[in-house]
Amino acid sequence: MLNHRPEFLFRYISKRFFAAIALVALMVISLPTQAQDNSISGTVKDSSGAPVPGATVLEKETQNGVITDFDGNYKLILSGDNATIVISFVGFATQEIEVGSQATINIVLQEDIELLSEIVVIGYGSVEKKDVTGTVAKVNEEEFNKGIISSPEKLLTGKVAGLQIETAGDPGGGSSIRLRGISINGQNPLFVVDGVPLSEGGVTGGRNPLNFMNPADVESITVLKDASAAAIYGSRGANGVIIITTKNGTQGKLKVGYDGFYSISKFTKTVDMLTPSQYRDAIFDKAPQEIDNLGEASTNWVDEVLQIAQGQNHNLSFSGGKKATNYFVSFNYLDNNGVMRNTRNQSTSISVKLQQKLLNDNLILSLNSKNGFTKDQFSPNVIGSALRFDPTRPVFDDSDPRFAGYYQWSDALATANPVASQDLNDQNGNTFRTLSNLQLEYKLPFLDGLSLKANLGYDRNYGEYHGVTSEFEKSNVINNRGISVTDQTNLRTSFLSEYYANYKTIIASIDSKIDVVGGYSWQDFNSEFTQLSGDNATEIDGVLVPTDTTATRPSTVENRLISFFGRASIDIKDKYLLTASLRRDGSTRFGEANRWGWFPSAAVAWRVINEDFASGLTGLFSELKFRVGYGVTGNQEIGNYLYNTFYKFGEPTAAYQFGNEFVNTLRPVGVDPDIQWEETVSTNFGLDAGMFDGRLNYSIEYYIKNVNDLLFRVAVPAGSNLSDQVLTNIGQVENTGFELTVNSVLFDREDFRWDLGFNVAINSNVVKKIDNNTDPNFGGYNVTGISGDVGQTIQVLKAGEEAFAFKTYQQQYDESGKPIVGSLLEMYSDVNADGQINELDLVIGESPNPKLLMGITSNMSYKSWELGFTLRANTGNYVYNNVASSNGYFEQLTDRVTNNIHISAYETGFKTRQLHSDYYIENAAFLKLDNITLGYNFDKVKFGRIKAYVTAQNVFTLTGYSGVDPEIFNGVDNNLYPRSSTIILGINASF
Amino acid sequence: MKKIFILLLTVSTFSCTDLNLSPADAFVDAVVFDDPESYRSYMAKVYGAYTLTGQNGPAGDGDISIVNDEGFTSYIRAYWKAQELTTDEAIIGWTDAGIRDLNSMTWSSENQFVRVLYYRIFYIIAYSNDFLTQSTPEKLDEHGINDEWKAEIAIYRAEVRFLRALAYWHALDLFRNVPLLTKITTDLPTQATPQQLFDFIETELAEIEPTMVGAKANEYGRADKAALWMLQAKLFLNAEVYVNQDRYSDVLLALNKITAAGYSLAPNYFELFMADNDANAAAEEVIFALNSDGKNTKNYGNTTFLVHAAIGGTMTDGIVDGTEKTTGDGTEVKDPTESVDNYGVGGGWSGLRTTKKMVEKFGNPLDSSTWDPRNIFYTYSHDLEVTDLGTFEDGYAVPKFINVSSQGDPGVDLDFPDTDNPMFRLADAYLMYAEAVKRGGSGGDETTALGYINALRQRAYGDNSGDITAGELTLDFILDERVREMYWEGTRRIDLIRYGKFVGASQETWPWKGGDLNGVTVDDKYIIFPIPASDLNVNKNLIQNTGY
Repeated sequence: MLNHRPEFLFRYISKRFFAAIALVALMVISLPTQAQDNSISGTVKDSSGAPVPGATVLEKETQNGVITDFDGNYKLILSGDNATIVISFVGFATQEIEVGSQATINIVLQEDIELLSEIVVIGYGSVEKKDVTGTVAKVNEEEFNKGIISSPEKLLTGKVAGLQIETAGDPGGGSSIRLRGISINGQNPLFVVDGVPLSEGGVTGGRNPLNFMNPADVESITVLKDASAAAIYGSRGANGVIIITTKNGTQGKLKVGYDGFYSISKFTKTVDMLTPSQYRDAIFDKAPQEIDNLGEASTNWVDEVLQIAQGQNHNLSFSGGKKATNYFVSFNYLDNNGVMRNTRNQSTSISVKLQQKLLNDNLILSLNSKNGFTKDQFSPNVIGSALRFDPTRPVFDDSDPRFAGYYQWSDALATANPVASQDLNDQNGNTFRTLSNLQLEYKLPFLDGLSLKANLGYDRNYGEYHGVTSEFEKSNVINNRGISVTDQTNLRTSFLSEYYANYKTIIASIDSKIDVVGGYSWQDFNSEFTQLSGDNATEIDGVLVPTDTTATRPSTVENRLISFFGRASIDIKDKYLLTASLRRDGSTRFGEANRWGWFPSAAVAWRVINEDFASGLTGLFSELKFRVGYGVTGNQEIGNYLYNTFYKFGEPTAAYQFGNEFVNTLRPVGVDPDIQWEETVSTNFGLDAGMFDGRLNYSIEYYIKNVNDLLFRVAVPAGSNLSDQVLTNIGQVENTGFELTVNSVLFDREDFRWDLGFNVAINSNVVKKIDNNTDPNFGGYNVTGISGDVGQTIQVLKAGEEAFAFKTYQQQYDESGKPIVGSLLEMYSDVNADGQINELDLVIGESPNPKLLMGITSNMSYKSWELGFTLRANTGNYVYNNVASSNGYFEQLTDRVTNNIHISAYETGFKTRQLHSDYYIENAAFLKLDNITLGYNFDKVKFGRIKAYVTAQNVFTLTGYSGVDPEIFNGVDNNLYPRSSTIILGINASF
Repeated sequence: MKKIFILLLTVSTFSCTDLNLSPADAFVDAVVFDDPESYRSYMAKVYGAYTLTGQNGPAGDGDISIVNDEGFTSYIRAYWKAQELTTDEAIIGWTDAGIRDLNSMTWSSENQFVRVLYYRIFYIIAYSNDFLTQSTPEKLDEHGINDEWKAEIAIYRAEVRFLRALAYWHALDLFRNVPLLTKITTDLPTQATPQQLFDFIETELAEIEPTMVGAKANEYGRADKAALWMLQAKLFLNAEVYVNQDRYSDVLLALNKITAAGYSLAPNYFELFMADNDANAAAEEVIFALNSDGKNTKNYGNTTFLVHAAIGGTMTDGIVDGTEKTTGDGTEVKDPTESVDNYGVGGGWSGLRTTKKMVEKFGNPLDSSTWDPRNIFYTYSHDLEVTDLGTFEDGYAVPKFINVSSQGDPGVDLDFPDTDNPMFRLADAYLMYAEAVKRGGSGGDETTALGYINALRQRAYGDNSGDITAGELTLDFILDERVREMYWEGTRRIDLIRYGKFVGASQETWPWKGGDLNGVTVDDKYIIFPIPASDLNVNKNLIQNTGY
């Protein structure tokens, strides 16, 4: 079975690959050919007289068209008589001119105020930006992050006020996303790709479930931030909604784009462990009994497990369209090696988007298909052991033949040689995901403004993981396990079926526009998982088959959402805007009595700028709008079947012996049958302003966001339920904050333009309730494990505190400011003054949640040059330096075997491990230059445009944090995959 | 594409408002209990809950989530720590949050090891209660269970009630004032008095006795009448502590049934703690054991803990029992497979050792030739004194439980031992008999008592050289003999309390008691553990134990 998988995948992909090639070929062939020679030429300029390069000049009702060159010149060979040409360019009003007998036509394009008001996709519809009533942020392609971008959410980091995205350091790594503060369950926003809401989570064998998408396909991303905007997505809207819109083909002849880069990445920081010579000194000073046991080598273990990593990316796109058909097809290949040896992410994606108009353009069929095949190579996380391993030991040593030439300690629990762990583990994953949907829109010919829409979607994500651990790997040697094998497969599928109607009309009598949408949605999610693992594997017909096998019972879970939704907007005199939406969601995740929930919202906006009394402001302001929104959203990311006591059999490894029989155990899980929707109620006040003819736009927001009936796994009175903790609607978490977003065009001269965007968000978080809290001694729910010891935690969830605040002992310091080292009573503050230091003396303090997030995006162009960068800052975020706490004490020098230690031991003087000292809680505010790109556009390239660029990614970090990297989502700096710095050389061509 | 399109259309036609989904691999009670085998599986869960920590071995899908590490949630691991680390028998070198507070008697109501012990006890109680609710005769009729199975399930019910009574005994012993629940209820539980708990256990055991399978007649691993008698004996022996009652005659009533049931002492003391103790001659002595298996019952508690935590340092570094292996020319040779040969595991966890105070019970601590032959001490490179809790070489190691069979073979797995944990064994019955007689119980006599004690000593010494006289058989001697015979088997705290030597005016001290290197006296409140703050926090009916 194992050896069939890759073959199956290969067939699957190749089939689709050739289908896509055939499709493109067909389109290329069917392009019209031109034979006639009556031509027209001229120059396109804007109202200031500057040439407009890149404008489209199209012969009306044909595919015959050209694009103006760098000086605004064009020449078009017309295909027929009595031609009309259509001249268009983004930001300008489209013009049509009858050619007649003219041979030269010079055109002056007029800026189009209406067009400048962008269209914003808001879920089941779109609105003009000026008509938006909720808090909606739109990020366009020009503002996206540059660099190695393996999945679309990484385009957004730092771009939206209040949206925190932290990406893991491994190649193709996953992102942790949080919008407007933190709650406790399911933090990620809902992703909606071309109308299809994605299920949360990924499959085994893959690093990031969004890697299947080609980020270059993304045209724009809209973030629905407040509940009045997100409530249309009901029970999945509580953490916001990220709507991704991908590129469409546009009318005109075939456009081909290529973007390729080569990258080189390196870990550029240093880790504060002792160098080999410092280490020898430490042994002489602190553990002289080990002097004779010092090794001969000088090994920098961190360097040994890292590498300089190369990568490359190739993206090819074809797009175009005829009268009723347009198409967009893209291929992408990304090969991205990690800075840790044996880590790699290779991703191949193919996407196709077709649009066909039928029935006098009244029926629009859109077919989208995005397919990604991702190969991930993993490596065990050896950072911790690389830090700890005695630097006087060599990597290779053959004195103990059991370990295949690697130096190893024979003590079972001593740190394993990290290089051996990397070399002796072979861990690979393959994932294949396809997201396809068919959308039909029918404009009823007999009722202007009414259209019916259907959206049928299919999301299939298949992953497999194959891991082999050599018989020479240390723990297999010690436990005599031979070769170990783990095989996992995971298939997640989702079907979407939704239907809705949209009616737009103008009621002239009250000078109002009305836009109503209503519909029904059905989405089903299925996940199947299998695992087979075992030891003492032998090769049979080229496949490793374990003899001591453990098979996990295959598990299948399914859940379903059924929804009815509606939204009505009215725009009175272009001054008063009202929007109300209502969604009713039904979910299989709750018991029959609580299955259905209502999610209402309402918002009003007042465009002061259009009031008569504001006419004096129009010189300065181009927009002035106040908004108030209120809405209820939900969260249902809580797992399945938690409302009913289900009995489940255990794995065969957890059986119990009666006589000579091992009996499978049967276990029910304790539940609260009354669990229901977790509701988030939020209110938002906003101001949108535009100044200086729209060259300066800013928005200010204030929000209050309350998660009521927070689902929390709370302790039950002992003995009163089948589990010690049961998921119940009990808690309450509040986030409040301000946001400021500024977008400006600082310069807009003939050969110099500078766009600058700035966003800042301030958030404060508090857990208002977590349980019924009747005992003052109860220290809250301890969460977030740390390394250095078994079963230790560092954070807490407790009423009155920030979510995930750190819980530590207060370190006592001597006059010179050094931590006191002595008995526990001397070292720590005896908070309850009972003469003992125990759990009751732990104090809840700072949290990892940033109080302020900031992002700056700058794009400059001067003649042929372009320079862009993204700066990002967090403040008020604290980190627990677990690297220092778990290694920074002198006893570790001789713990079981000789080990390296963290240099902080010299600062603290700690002899023993002090994991819970608040000494290790550090302010981790930072400013990062995420990426900077310099590009050059080559002039006078006849057939199209070529741009060469160089990008640096993760350029510098300014921080007071003593560890390697202050940006740590959960606030625990612990064996993290190191983030590298990257240089990219790329070329971008289109013709 | 076409296929997908058809699929989508098919799906869309299903669109409706059906929100009833059931898991594919789990069942509601109405379904699962139609199959009589399910009752056996459910009972296996209740037995298994004393050793396993979840539905996946060795860890995964844990039963208890209120502490961070699933391994900590093992019943026997938590129980053993509470009964041994709090005494002179064992100290631990680890720094898991709160673990040293057991050694130093500075635990609080937030101590995670106290907490997990409490929740484990109530986990067993809750599952037992649900089992009993699901298996009433009426329910069995509803499920259409046939008569043959009904008779079998009636026995299961008795055994589950036994397991519940055992858990309640632990609750009474360790926490004293806990709720008494016999069914799952949403009502807030209220605390029972110690007398109510005591009476409940006593009544339950009396009620189920006729239904329990006769001594030695049940399948291996399942409790029988003799296990029940042992529990009765232990409850009554400590009745003065629990409810201030003299029940020593009842102790003897129960023990007399055991001694008449055909058990015999294992010929070789050490085989009681070996990987094949379910099959070797020691099985004749074991009355009730918690089973372990390296392949099918994997967990990080029970004997996995007892074997691994007790070894480390030079024990697994090429040194055999204090004697270095040397080659012909006298150079030391380290044998990397040492730990496998001696202990049947890949390596040690370097945690548990003993104190000088315990070694003294075996003879002159500095002269191993004087030690009682039952000692299983590893002294090479170890100091007698424990000056640093964190140094494994401080304090003698006690590799009493090992994963090696009586034939010298390691267990099937080098990580997860096959060694069963003998919870109740005949030697304990002998010792309790002597103590009950000495404490004035009727139904026994001193001669028999002396015979039992000397039987233990003859097994230890291999002859009668270790025999004691009637005059030497004092209550204090019995307490010390309990150390020599029963050390590290989880009874020491109970014994010290019964003798008034744990806390109170006549308390003894030992290294690290009260957090002091030499030991200091501690407050009387430590006679029992506090109700965990996490339970007080959600149950306003509960009143904290005095002093906490």
